[in-house]
Amino acid sequence: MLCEKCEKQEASFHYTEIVNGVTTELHLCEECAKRRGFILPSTFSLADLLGGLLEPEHLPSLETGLRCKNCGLTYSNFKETGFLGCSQCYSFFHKPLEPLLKKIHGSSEHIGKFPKKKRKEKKEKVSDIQLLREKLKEAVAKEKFEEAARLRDKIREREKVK
Amino acid sequence: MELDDLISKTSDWLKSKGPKSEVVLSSRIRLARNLENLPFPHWAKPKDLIDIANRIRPSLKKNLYLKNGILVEMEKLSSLDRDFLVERHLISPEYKRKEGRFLIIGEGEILSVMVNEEDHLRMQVLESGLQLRDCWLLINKLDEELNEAVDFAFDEDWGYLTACPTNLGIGMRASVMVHLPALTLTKQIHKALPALTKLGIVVRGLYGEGSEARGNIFQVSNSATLGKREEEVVDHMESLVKQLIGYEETARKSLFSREKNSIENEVWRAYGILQNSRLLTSQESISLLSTLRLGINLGIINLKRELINELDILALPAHIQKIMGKTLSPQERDRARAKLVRDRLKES
Repeated sequence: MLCEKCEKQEASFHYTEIVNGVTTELHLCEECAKRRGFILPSTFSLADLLGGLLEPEHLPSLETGLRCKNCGLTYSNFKETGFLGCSQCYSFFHKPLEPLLKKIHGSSEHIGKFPKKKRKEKKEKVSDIQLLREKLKEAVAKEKFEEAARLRDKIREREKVK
Repeated sequence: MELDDLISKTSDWLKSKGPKSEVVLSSRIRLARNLENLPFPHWAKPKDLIDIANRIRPSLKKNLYLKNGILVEMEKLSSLDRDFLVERHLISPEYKRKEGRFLIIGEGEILSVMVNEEDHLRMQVLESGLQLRDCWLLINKLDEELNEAVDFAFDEDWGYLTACPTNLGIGMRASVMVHLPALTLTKQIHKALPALTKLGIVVRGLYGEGSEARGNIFQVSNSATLGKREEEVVDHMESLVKQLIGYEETARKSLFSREKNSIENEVWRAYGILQNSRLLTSQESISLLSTLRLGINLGIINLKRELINELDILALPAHIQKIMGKTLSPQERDRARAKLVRDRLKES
C-alpha cells in the first residue's frame, strides 16, 4: 500500500481513529507520519524522560554542580545521559536522587533481597520496627500527622520485609 | 562448545515444554549487579573495563551453574555473530563489540551472563512457557554463588546499585513473551494493554517498533524495582499473565465459533504459502508462522509448536546467514529462508 499523502513511499504507519463512532483510517509512510507528528523524533531518549522528571524546583543550581568524588561524574552528566558513574554517585547525589526515585518507582526504600554479608543488617532493620511504632505513637499524641503518616508507611514497608 | 555449535541446537526455551505454552512462549528474569566503587561501563575507561572483566572472569568460569559454558569475547565477534546472539535473546543490540566485554552462555542457553553491558553484570535465565518462579529460583542461586566470590555494590536503603536508577533496588526485570493473536484480531488488545500499564507492567511488541507487534508476540515486563520484593514481582507478574492467558483463550474460542470458516481458511492458506513460496521475507514468515501457531492451538492443523518456535528464530536474517555459512543480500536471504521453511515443513 502506498502512502496516502505523498503517494510515493510504501505506507508503514497505519492509524485508526474513532471519534463518535466515525472511523477514520490513515496510511502513511514513515516520512509523512513524522511530519504530521505521529512518530516521535529519534532523539527521544531515556535521558530526556529522566530529565523531564527532574523539575527545576528540585534542582537548585548548587546541585547541578555536584560532583562524585570517587568517579568524577557531575550531576549535569547524569542529567544528560540518565546514567550514574559508579556506586558512590548514589551517596554524593543522594539528596536530588531521592525524589526522582519516588517518581520512577513510587518508593525510595529497598525491601528486596540483601547480599549474604549484609543480611545481619537487614535483621536489625526489622527489629527497629518497635522503635518506629513508639515514634508513631508520640507523633500522633503531638498531632504531628504528616510525620505520623510517614512513619506509618515506613512501618508498613519494613513489615513486608519480615 | 563453540559459538557455531549453537546453530544446530535448539535453545531450551524454544522447546515449548513449559506450562501454558499455548500462549506463553518464554519467561525470562534478568538481574543487574555491579562491583563496588568501580566505574559503571558507560563511564569507565577501556582499561577499567578490562580490569573489571578480569576480576569477574575467573569466578564466572568456575561457577557451578555455568559449567561447560561458552565464553564469547565481544571484541572478537563479527557483526553477523553479534546479530545472531541478539536474535537468540542472549545479548542486547546495544552490547558493544569491544575489549573488556564478554558473555558466558550456559548449557541449553538457559543461563547467560553479559559482562560490562549497561551494568558490570547482567545475568539472565530464559525458560520455555510460564515459569517465572522457576527462573527466579535459578537466578537467585546463580546470584548467591557469584556473590561468594565478588562483592556487589549495595545500599541498605536503595538496594543493589545500578548504572541507571530505573533498575535500582532489586535490579530485576521479569518478562514473559506471549502470543496474543485472538486478542489482536478482535482488537481487544487495545483495552487489555493500557490496563496492564496501570498495574505497573510494561508491554511492547517483540518485533517491530513501538506498539506494533509483528507476529502478535508481546513482551510483558515489570517496571518498578524499588520498594518491591523479588517474589512479590514474580507472583504479581504470574497472576497478571494468567489473566491475560484467560482473556486470550476466551477470545480464541469465541473467534473460532463465530468465524470458523475464515480462520480455517487463513491457517491453511498460511501453510500453503509457507510450503510453496520461493521468496519469503522475515516479516512475512513471522506473520504466517503466527497464523500457523494459532491453527495448532485451535486444533485446525497438526504440527509441532516447537517447530514453529524454532522457525521463528531460524528465519531471522542473521540465523539464515549463519545456516548458509556466508553473508547474503536481502533477496538471497529471502530465497534461503523460503527453502529452509519449505524443507522443515516437509520433514515434519
